[in-house]
Amino acid sequence: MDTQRIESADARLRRCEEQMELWRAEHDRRDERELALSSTVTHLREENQRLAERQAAAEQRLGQLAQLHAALQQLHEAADQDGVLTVIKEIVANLIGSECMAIYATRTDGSLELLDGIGVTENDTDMANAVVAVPLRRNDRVVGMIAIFRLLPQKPQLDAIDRELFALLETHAPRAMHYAGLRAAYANCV
Amino acid sequence: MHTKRILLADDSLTALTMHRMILGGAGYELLIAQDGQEAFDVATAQQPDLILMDVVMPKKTGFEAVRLLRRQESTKSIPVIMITTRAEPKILEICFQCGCNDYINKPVDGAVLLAKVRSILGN
Repeated sequence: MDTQRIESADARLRRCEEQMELWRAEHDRRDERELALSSTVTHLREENQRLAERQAAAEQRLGQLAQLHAALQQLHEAADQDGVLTVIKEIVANLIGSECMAIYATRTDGSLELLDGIGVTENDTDMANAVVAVPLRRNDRVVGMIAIFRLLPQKPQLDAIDRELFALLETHAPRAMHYAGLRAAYANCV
Repeated sequence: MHTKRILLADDSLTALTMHRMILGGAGYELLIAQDGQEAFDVATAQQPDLILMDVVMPKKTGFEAVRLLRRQESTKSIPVIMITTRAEPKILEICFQCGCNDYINKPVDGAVLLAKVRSILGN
């Protein structure tokens, strides 16, 4: 009777040990799975961060392209030369960030004639005071100048998109002026 | 979910074109006003989800238009982002006293504009 009981206890102990072995194996498998999941989560977080950075860069560039597109569209849609001057002022005020600028035409003797501006007088023709002076060219000839004398206080310096806008103004502003003049002349004839 | 509507109030066609490209491209429906009075009228009639308002505009300034919107029951809680040329504390104080929710300094950075709009509209 006692021998049977001892055997039975041994058998139960063996079963318990086998069960514990199974649980240990299951526990190890779960640890491995958790490790793998944790690695996947880390990877996804890194991927998410990379995508967020790419999205931010894409949105930054989209904003810059929108500036260039708006500038170009408005320059060429201006109905007359006064309209072109207004658009140039809007570009400088809203997209570049200045409230002190002037637009000049070049006279035949090379001197500058003030056409329009923001916060300047006819005496403000000294380019030495300008933060930046953008020549306006048509057919490789300088026909005018845009001078920016001061940037807005919150804009400490010019950046890459400003230089893209200057390049656009350099060629497209005189062209827009020229075609607006032609359109006006044509309208007068008709 | 309905498409969120944003009223763009600015007298500069160049600025409007730029904002329209950025926000239209992000899937928002846009309403346009070219002076302060028109901004007030369109906001009252159309009840946009957000207003992007320039300060210096003909007929009514952005500040005057926002003050009027805040006095009116149907428009008093429409969020307004003011676009300011001047970033001095005094101007920003006026902005918030008028009832603006946020502001953006000129020149407007497209990414900042999108981030502020998303932050207010919650998408």
